[in-house]
Amino acid sequence: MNLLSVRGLKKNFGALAALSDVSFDVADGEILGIIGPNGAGKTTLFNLIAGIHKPDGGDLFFKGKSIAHLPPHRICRAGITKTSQIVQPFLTLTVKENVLVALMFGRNITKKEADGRTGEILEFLKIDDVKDKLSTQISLPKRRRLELARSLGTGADLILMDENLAGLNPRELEEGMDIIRELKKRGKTLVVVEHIMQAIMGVCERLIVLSYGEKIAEGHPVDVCSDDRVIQAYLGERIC
Amino acid sequence: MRKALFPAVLLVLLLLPALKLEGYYYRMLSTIFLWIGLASAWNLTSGFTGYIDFGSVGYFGIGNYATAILMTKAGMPFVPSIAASGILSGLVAQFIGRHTMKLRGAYFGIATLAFAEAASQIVMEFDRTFHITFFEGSHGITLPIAHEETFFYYTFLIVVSLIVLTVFFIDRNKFGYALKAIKEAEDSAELAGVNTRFYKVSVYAITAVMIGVLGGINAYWLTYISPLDVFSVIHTIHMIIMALFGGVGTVFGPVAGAVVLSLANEIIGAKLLYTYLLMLGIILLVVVIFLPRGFIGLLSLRRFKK
Repeated sequence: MNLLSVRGLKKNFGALAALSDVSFDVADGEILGIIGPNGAGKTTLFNLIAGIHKPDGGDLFFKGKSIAHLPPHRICRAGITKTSQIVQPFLTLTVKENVLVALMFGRNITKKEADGRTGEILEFLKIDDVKDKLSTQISLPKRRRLELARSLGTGADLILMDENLAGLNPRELEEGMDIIRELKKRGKTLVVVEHIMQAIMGVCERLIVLSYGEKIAEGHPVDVCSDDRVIQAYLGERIC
Repeated sequence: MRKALFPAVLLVLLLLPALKLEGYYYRMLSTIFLWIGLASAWNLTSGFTGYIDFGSVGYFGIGNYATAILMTKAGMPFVPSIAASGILSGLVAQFIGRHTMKLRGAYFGIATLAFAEAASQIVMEFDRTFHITFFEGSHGITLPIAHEETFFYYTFLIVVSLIVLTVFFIDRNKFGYALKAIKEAEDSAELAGVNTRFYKVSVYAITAVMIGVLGGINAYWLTYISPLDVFSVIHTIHMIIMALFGGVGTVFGPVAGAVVLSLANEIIGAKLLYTYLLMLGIILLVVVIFLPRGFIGLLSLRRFKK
């Protein structure tokens, strides 16, 4: 079953066509990777799906209903959220409070109900040791985990991860990939934008390649990586 | 101990009139209460969401005029009049907020400043333009003198306590977390499911209700109001300075700021106006540069030291 269907999506910034006529589906429970050179439109695509920007054409269907006209908080409640490439925690709130906000508003529950559910998420992402620190006081890898913690807090079924693994050392990267696999086991559907091919090949079941706002390839990661157009546009050399 | 401070202070203030003090002291304390209320109300929107409102005096003026007109022209009693002041301010804020709250940063500040100035001009010129007697233009409105100083002392005390309590509860509740999330990262707040527009407009209207009610009391207390006085931008500036001085985005920061600066104004400002203004400027510079979270920030920072 398709959880998300993207149909003929278009977005222009002035004269620049950031996305032109992009269509694809995301199946329930899969891990889909999106790769492509800088400026290919990956982040724009995420912002359109999450509702931060409105598309200039095309449509988005989530669980069969159009969500293209909804504001981000409604899309979040419907079940889609996003982690940002540039981490944007609520700086003057503690780590725990950051997750609390996502729980309360993403699931529309009271503060009391949400209070009891922060622990499990913080433990799962191994940031419970810093739960009472301000989000300014924790390291970048932990802030990236916090972004993910907030996504889990909202209870969204589909999580869009925008370069959540960038800037991590090899051990942290390995842990990050384990978390992604574990999320899948817990029934989450993930769309991952990433430049680290090791991570992409390690977790993704299917790949989409964007270049200059267009989808140039789609399929099994190994097939996509041996596609000449993909090698020319993005990879530069044969990696598999 | 800090928990007991608020009820203790409230109790002392409630019992104070038993001492039968001179009228001057009630007037001074009433002034302090008024400013605690105004600074706290301003802080609720601007301190918690980071949307710095430069037009708050607009709601103060609306509140003043609503009560003055209802009492003098419609013969309405005092309490329903100030309630009407609050409701009217809140309704106007719903409309203004829905449009200005889309703007960010300085644009919001300028839009709200323009709203307050426009409101002032409407009250000033309405009668002359339409050849009627309603707002009474620059003549102002004189209200009946009916009550003793202790009446206003208690009215301000009760209303301002309710305002501070409201801020206190909002700070700890879901609503407060929405406001803080908006202040820190509005896009992230939306992604976490916060209906940012709803919360922004709601809190702006709540602030306006508070300021409107205070304006209504102010009109009856002063017994004479004029547009240049009750719509003066200096009132907004005072709210901002008091909140900044004590600590924006905290519950008791604006209370402390209002107490200290109202007292300073009363003691120094009355005799040495220019010394007071100079001192105010220096204090504000020091606060902004060295204590960006205000004096209350000094206390709460300890919580997070490693």
